[in-house]
Amino acid sequence: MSTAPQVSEEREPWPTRRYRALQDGELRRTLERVLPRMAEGRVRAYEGDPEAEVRRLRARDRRREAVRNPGLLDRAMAAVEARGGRAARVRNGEEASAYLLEIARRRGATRVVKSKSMVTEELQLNRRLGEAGIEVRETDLGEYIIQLAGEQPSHILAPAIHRNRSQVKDVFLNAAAAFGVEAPASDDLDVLTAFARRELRADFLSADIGVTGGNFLVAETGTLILITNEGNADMVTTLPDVHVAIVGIEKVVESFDDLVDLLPIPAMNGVGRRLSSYTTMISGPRQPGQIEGPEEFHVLFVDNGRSKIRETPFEEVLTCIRCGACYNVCPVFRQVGGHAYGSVYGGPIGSALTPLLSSLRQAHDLPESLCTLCHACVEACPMDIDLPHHFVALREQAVREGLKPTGMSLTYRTWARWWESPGGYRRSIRLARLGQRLYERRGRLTGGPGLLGGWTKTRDMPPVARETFGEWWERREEGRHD
Amino acid sequence: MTESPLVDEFSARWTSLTGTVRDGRGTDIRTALREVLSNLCPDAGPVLIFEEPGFPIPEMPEWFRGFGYEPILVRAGAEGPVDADGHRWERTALKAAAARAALGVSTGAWAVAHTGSVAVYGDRDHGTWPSLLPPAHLILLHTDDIFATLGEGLGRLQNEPGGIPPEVKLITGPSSTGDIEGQPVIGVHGPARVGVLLLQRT
Ligand code: SF4
Repeated sequence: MSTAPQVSEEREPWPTRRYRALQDGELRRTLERVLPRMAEGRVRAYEGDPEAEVRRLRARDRRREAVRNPGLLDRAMAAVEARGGRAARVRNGEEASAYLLEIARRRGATRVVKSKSMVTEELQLNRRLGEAGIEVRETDLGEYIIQLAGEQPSHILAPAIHRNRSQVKDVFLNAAAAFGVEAPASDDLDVLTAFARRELRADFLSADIGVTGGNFLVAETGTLILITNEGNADMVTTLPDVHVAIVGIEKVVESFDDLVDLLPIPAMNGVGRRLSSYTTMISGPRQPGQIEGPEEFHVLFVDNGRSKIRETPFEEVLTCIRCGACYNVCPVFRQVGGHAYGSVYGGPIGSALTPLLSSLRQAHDLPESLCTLCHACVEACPMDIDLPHHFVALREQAVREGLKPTGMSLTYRTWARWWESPGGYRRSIRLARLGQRLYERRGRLTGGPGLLGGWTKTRDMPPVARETFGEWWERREEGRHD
Repeated sequence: MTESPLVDEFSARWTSLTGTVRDGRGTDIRTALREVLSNLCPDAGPVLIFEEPGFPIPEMPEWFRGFGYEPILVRAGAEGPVDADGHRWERTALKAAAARAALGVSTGAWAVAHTGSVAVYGDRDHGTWPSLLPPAHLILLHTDDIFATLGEGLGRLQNEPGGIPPEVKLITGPSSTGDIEGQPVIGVHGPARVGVLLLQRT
C-alpha cells in the first residue's frame, strides 16, 4: 500500500536542521517563553480538579480499547451513513484528494476553507487540490499565517509559534499588497488578529466546501467531534454547502458515553483549560427545514500507514490524541522547535509516528537524535504513551536493519564487548589512559579516534582519571586486609 | 451569591473566562437585559435573535427596538425558520443578516457548572449562527438547565426527544487564540464578548 510521505526525500540531514534552529534566536526566545507556560497550565489544571486524574485514566483505557478494536471502523461508517452522511475509506493523499475533486467537479466548486487538521498536512491535501485548480484557504490563525508565508506548521497547537508579531505583520503586509486590501496598521496583536478576522470572514462566507479534521469520531452515533478555541471550525462546518471531515482511522471511539472523559483531555493537557472554547459535535448534514449546516456531510477515514501499526508493539502510539503536552515539556523541542524535525509531525510523538507511518529508513534520525530519553513526555502524556521505550525499540530496529553507518555500528559493538565484563572494562580504562595523551588539552579531551573525534567537536570530555574510583577502592581495600 | 451552589459555580467559571453573567430572576428582565447589553454590545446595531419554540422572552424584539437596536428575527416554523413577517428565511439572506449583526441572541440548551460551558443546538428549530458570526453573543439560560458535570449535560443530550441534533456546540468562553507569540487574544473568528442572562423557568 502506498502512503504519502511524512518526510520529503530531499530532507536535510539532522545536523543541518539542528544548526539552523539553534541559530534562530527569535525562535528560541519564543519557545522558551511559551512552552513552559503551557506545560505549567497543564499541571495547574490537574491540581485544581481532583477528579481529573480519574477521568484521564478512564479516557486512556477507552482509547486503548478503541485502537485494538478494528470492528469499530465499520460501525462508525454505518452510523455516519445512517444519519444522512457519507462515509468512505481512503488509503492515502491521492485517494483523499480524488474524493474531494469529485465533489468539486459535481458541484462546480472552486473554493475550499479548512480548519486546522494535521492529517490533511500529512496527505498534502492543499498542494494536491491547488494543482487541480482548487483554492484552499487555511483559517486557523496560526495556519493562515504560515500558509501566507509558505511555511510548515511548527507545533501542533500553535503552528506559527516560530514567528514573532513583527514577523507576522510582515507576512500580512505582503498579503495585503497581494490581495489589494488595507494592511494592518501596527504589529499590535489585536490589530493583526482583526486583519485576519476581516480577510477570513470573506472566505468563510463565499466558500463552496469546508474541510476539517476531527478530534474523535463516535462509532455508536457517527458523531464527529471538533475542538477549537477560535471558532473557525464552526464557520467551516456550517457556512459552506458541503462539509468533508478527514479523520485518521485511529480517531474512532466506541460510545457516546466515552466523550464524558475524552472531551476535556485535549484542552486540559495541551493548555491547561477544562474545555476549549468550542467543542462541536456534528451528527449529520442539515435536517429538512434547517437553514444552517451543510447539505452534504462526508467523513473520509484515512489509513495512510496507520493500520500497519496495529497489532505491533507500537500500537499504543495510535491512542495519541494530539494534545501537544509532550511538545511542551520536551527539552529537545524546547530548544529546536518543530521545523528541526523535518517532518509533518514534530515533537516527541512525531519522532515515533513519523518512522512508523512512513519508514524507518527515511526517519530513523528522529528517535535516535532528537530524544535524550529523559521521560518528560511520558509523565506529561494523558494517554501514558511510553515514547522513550518506543524510541529505544526503533533504535534497535535501525541497527538490525543496517541503517547505521558501518563505522558507527562497529564502534558501539566493540565498546559493548569490552564493557560486558569487569575485566574488559578495566582493560579499556587502562588503554584509554594511554591513548588519551594524544588528545588532552588543558585538562580536557579534544578530538579522538573515529566517532569520538566528531563527538568532542561540540562537547567537552574529561580525561580518564589518573586513578579511577574503582582502582582507588581496590587499593584501599587491599590496604585494610594487610 | 444566590441560593444555588450550581448557579454560583457556573457564574464564577463563566466570569473567569471573561464572560458576563446577569441574573434576571426575581427582577425586571427588561432592565436586566439593558444592563447586560451595556457590557456586551453598548452601541445600538442589528441584533440577530433566534426564537426556538417556547422562546423564553417573546417581547425581546420589541424591547431591542425600544433600546434603539434593529432586531432581526429568526423564528422556528413548521417548515423551517421564518422572519418577523412569517416569510421563510432563505439561506444566503440569513447568512448575510448574521454576518452584519452586532449581537446574536439564542437560548442555551443546557450548561455545565464545572467547566463553565453552555450548549447550543443547531437543528430545524435552533440555530448556532447567532453564536458564531456576530462579535457578541447573548445566551438566555434557564437556571434549571445548569448541570454540575459534563456527564450530566451529555446525558441530557442523548435523551433529547428528537434525537441528537445535527450540530451541538459547547461554548466555553469567547473565541480566542494564542497563535501569535502564545499571547491570548479574544474575538478571532467568533464573538469576543459572551454574556449569559439567567432566567427562572415559568
Ligand atoms: S503523545 Fe501523548 S502528550 Fe504527546 S500529543 Fe499525543 S497524547 Fe498528547
